[in-house]
Amino acid sequence: MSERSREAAAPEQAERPAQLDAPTAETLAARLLTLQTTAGNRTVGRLLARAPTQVRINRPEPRTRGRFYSGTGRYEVDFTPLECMLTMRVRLVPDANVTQTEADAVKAETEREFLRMWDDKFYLDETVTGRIPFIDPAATSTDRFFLRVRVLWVASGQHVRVRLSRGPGRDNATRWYVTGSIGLDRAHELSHRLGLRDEYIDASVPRRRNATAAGVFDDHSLMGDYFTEGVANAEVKLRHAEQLAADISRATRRRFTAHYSGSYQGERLVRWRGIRDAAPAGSAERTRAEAEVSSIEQDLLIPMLSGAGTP
Amino acid sequence: VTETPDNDLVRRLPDDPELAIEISEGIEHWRAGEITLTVEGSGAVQVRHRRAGEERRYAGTLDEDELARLAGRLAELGFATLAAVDRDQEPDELTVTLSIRRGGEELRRVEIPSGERDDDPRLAGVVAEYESLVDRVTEHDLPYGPAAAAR
Repeated sequence: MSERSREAAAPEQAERPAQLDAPTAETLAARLLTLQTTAGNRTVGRLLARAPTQVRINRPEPRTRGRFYSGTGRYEVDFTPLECMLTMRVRLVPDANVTQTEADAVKAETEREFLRMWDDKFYLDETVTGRIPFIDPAATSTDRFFLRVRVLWVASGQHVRVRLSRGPGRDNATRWYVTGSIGLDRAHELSHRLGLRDEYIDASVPRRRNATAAGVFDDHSLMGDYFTEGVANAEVKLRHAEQLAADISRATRRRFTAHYSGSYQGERLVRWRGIRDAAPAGSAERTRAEAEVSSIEQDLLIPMLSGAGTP
Repeated sequence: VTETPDNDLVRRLPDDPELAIEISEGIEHWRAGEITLTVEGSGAVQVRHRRAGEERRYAGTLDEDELARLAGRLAELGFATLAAVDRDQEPDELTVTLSIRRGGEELRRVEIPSGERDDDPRLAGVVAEYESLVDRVTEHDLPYGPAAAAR
């Protein structure tokens, strides 16, 4: 059997274990035993019983006069050793006058921007107690899962249904336009489906009614007024990942905490040094950017490394 | 006595220099900002663009025929009788505000989620007239031109 045909046959074999011949079963058993030895029984058990967990969120945002912005979020997560794969299944429904090429371009641009914002930017830590009950019941250990993100374009079974019109028009969470909006807008809109709220000033929302309101952020957030702050500097924040960690914890009945990944902090350090250097000397914006740069450098242990004479 | 505006009043806009209709869409601190179109009975047209704390105004005029055509079209679309729609909105779904004023007095004001355009061709027609006139008065700067672009 060639390497290629063996790969092609593998999924079918996995679905029909009763038909395995003896040597193959032996190989699988050996692999399972090895995995149990290295990853542990609990992890192997989870892998074998694995099914994605659906995360459902309903977090409407109150507005004045008893109205709301809807706050429905839907996605799924699947855990493997070292990774949490977040999948959003999007059903895009183009109007009759939108061409296939236009719809495909919107899909490609949206997926690129959503992944550029979210994929591999954070990790989730899960601290578990009682893994070695006979030796030290109080001992804790931490599993780390890098948060990977993907978008699947589907025709049914969607988490999100979005109508695509030719436009021009301004995107919202359930209606996108081929013209009049940019790819980052759609990354913003899909982020609503992760359960995140807007962070720009909106006089109709009490918690965002002015610049000092608790729900308003002007720190280059993807959920803020990035049109004015600068599209090139828009980013997702730790507070966003903490919201995801809380929602995923609730859905999986596990307990996760969110953290910036090292590579994302490196990316952010370059971005925030640029923001700092572009801000006028002595301005509040420069002071804030300087503080952000210092915070990232601390997280990356740069001051300690510099002190030790490491380049 | 406060008058109740009807669509005949809108049709008679060219006869009443004190009368003005106003159409507004957008949020000042989000994307393109808030764009407000005002058409007065005198034929004067103004576009006010508020974005992130800055305000810019554009001015133009409609001649007698143009004003009569616009007033007739808006009356036909039911500008004065389109009802406010009170429902939850999707995040980032904008609100269209329609108002009629005489002098300093606001005779009518309704807010309608912009998504209602899909279900109500009259609102779609009103917004189409608004976008077309804004585009003309701002010489393509708005509503989808450079003044509305990301920075």
